[in-house]
Amino acid sequence: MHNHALSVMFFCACALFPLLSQAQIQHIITNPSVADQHMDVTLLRSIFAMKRRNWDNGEAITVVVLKDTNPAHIEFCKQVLNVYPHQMRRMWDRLVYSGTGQAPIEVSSEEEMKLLIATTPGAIGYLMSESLTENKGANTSKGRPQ
Amino acid sequence: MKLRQLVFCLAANMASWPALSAMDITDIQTHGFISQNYIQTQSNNFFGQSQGDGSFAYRELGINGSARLDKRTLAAVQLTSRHAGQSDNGSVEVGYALVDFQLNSSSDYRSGIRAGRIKIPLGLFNETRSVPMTRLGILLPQSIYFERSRNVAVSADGAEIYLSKHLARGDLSFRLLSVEPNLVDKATETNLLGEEQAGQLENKRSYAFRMLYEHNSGELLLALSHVQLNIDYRAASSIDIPSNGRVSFQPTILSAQYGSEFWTLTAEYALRQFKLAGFNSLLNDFSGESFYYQVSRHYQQKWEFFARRDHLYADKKDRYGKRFAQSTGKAAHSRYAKDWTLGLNYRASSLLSFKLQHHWINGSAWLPPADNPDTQNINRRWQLLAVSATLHY
Repeated sequence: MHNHALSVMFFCACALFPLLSQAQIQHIITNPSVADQHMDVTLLRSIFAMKRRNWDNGEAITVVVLKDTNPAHIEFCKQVLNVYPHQMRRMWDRLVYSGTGQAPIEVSSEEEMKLLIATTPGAIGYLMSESLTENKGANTSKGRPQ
Repeated sequence: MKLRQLVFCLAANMASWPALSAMDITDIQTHGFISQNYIQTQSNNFFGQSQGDGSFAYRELGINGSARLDKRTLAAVQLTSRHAGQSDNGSVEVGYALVDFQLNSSSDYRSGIRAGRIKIPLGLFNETRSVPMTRLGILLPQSIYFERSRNVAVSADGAEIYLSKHLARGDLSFRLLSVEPNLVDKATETNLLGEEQAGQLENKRSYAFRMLYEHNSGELLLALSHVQLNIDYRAASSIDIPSNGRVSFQPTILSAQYGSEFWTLTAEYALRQFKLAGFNSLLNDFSGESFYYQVSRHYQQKWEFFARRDHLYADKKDRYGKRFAQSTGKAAHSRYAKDWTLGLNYRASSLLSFKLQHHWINGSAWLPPADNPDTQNINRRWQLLAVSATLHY
């Protein structure tokens, strides 16, 4: 009974505050300027949906993504954000063409993403290839799951 | 504070910011598109002389830019040109030009104000209807997003407040606009008053409201939107009939969209109330009704195939126009339209898209009058084929 109550509580907590697993968090990279930011799925979704403009420390957020058809982008959307690339595109188009928001910056490779994030304060992106997640300037695995 | 004062204060405030020249203007973005369409119809004309060999008289062009003026402020402007047969001459228009000031952005709430020329958030597509890439197919469901009087509800000058609450699995957002609609033209007059009149239409303070719930970053969208567009009619002279009057056009739209990896289901229902006062009591209130549902199948982020059913009734108490035909002698089929549409979209690259769609239509309610001046030659049953190529960046 005790165990059952605990698992119900755990389930409720997960539903209210979706946790990022280590497998998910290790794909996120940010510029060192926002290394202290707490990360969770809700925050990541609102960042990649281009709804949130600033980090908790006030720094402007710059979102970097790969092209819609890039396998790493598709995997990131599905595995980490739990959305589909065509939904993301629809959301960005709605913001851009109604004047109520901006689109993320699009790069054509993970190398390019890594370089741009390392040199842009407040930037966030993702790396899905294991070989690229070794830290070289950009913060990988530095977001702290809540 | 009155709206005009608010807009003025905001503009003056921005212009007088001492740090304007030293402002950290970042994230300047620009996007654009050019689209050429081919339309061929069997019976009736749609955007040009589309019968027979078809018509290329439907072209769209747009460019927009946005920039972050500081951490809280976004400025955005879009210019569009639309050539659509006899209905639109391709002149360049300011689609939106606005400043968005975010008052609050935390992990729970987001709120702010916008001022300038704003796209009216009506249903899921009104705000972005000028942009081919955002549409369901080449032509949006005409029952709700009709092209024949699009000007009246596309954008307007004024201000809005927005508030968004982050919930556990989604976002609930509210927008409230107080605006003066622009671009009241003869097509609007025909639509609102039944026929062209000698007097003048005059825009009045109008309001729009939308409540939107986005579940799981857009997996499910649910929206309720309502607009109250107020337009006064000034008769040409005091003995003119109809006399002065006021039209209040009040569309209410319920919208839903569900998307999975391969499927997207979209449905919207609109109740369009026309409330008329004055006019020597010659014109009566009436309500129109529209709805559509569409199912799309996606393949490999590039292909999308869709099927749609679309219904439009100009007067829901006289759905098939029988009373209208008896009292005016005009065709009953000008008061309704029901159609089936099949379509295919192909995103060839991030720069180039192609679309194809075919409509089988019963009724002529959304036929543009300007392309069909001879009302005797309008047929109840007709078909429309549309092909488009769009370059965008």
